[in-house]
Amino acid sequence: MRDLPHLGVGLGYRVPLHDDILANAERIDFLEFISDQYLYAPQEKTDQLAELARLFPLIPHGVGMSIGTAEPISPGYLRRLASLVKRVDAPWFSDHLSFTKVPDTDIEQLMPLWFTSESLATVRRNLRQVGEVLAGRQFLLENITYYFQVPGNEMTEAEFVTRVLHGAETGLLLDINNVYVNSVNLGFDPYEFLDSIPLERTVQIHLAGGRYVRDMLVDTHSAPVPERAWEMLAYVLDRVPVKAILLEWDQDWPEFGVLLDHLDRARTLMRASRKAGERR
Amino acid sequence: MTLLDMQRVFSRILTDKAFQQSFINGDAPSPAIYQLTERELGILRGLRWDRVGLQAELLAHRRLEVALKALPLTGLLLHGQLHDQLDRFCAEHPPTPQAASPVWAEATRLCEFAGKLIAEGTLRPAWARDLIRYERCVLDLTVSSQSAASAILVAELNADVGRPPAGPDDLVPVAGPHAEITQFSYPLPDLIKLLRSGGLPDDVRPLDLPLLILFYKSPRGPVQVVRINEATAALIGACDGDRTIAGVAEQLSRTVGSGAKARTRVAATIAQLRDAGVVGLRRSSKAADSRPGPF
Repeated sequence: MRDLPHLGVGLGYRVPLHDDILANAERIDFLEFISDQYLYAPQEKTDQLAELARLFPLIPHGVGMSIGTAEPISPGYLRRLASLVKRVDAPWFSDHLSFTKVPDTDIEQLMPLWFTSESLATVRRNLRQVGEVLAGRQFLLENITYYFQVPGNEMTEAEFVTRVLHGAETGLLLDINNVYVNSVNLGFDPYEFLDSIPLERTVQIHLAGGRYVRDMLVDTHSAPVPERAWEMLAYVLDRVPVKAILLEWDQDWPEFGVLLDHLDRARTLMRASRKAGERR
Repeated sequence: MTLLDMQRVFSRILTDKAFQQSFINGDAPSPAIYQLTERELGILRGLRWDRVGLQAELLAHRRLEVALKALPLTGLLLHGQLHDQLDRFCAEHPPTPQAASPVWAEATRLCEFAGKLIAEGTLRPAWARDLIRYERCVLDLTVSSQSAASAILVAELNADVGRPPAGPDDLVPVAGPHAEITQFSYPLPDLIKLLRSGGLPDDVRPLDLPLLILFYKSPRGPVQVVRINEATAALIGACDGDRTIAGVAEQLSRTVGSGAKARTRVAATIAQLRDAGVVGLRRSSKAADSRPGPF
């Protein structure tokens, strides 16, 4: 993972932001796009991605792999994903440590896994399958938000994440806001969580902001990054060098300048941590 | 090994309100479908139901919003009414996995659902059914790989065919899956204009004669929408990739006449359709420099 390129600070590519992104390309180091939106798209849509790839490094980020489903991943899904990853020549690609579908239902949202040894075996088996089809490309797994503890867990989320990454080639996509949201909704110390996972496996970081729906803080990707999350970002950057930081903002967009200000703030933190890292 | 069944039940709880309610009430899921031990059932029953309920609600809303993002005019007209029918939508159209774009899958389900509710009089106005069919046509042509490929092939054919010039006996017009003609009962172009400007017309009566609309995908561009007459629809229908332009004129002679004037009119209309990218022209196999057609 050390050989992966340093990408800097990027933005989640969303079609309504296209023109603003191109107009401000010098302030955006890379783009991440939702790979599932392109897996079944006509070629002209992936051609548009390939054009974007000439301007920015592109990272495919998935929501539909469902690595935690207790059965093998659809080979067709993986083949399409492999073709897309190759098409945009991505240095890495990512999805979530979750399940989103079973044979009869596609929840279309990220659901927590049971943190049990059976789930662990499932994820490890599916990771091997991903590695076989997408050999040579680095894969990252992201921690998710979930709004209630699933009873019957045999270990904590931090232990589960640690054991998934242990012995695997998989890197970590650390979503800072997801840790923050979970800490609020589930009532734990986010720093304890960060200290309990193999932070050194972090390749990329996600930043975002959410909103309250009744008593629940929801990861809506529709609001400014909360100050607590910025503090957590600085905490992580003080400890590990990461290759990329990405802002996710999917709806209720403010003036594009607000997004760029977020990127600048993240870039300043990243540069400061790199300089400090060089001195260490 | 019942982890998969645990996940299946959990998924049903989140996406099927009736199932969730019956589970909360203590009804065990059918053992014929799900094989769960008492311990596993106990684990699922220990879920925090207020949060599960809220997340299920958010998921249902998200399904509607995802679908309406692809059907913006339908959203303008029916958002509130569809929102009121959300439980029924989720019950009758569960999110079964599909090897297709998730947005297209949800939008397609919503089109079917809304069409049914309009037919039974639950959703109004009646002309919304035409609007949904209209948006479905645009969506299908936008996301379909076949349609995109066909639009590009037609453009390539038309770029090639002019060199050297050829006559009506040498050229074969071909329409592909990037073009579709649909019949509507209401004055849809006017209604859409009103809807976009914020108006919500009521008391709209069906037209005396059905309206024909041609939808066609342009290469690497959006779907174009044009109102056409019956003669043009018949002409596009006759562009089957076998008949030459002369053959198409011959085929349509009963309706447009068989004289030289009628043949010229057919050729001129085909030229217009070619310029728009609706049909492609390729040389007939009898022509000297023939090339295989794409369709």
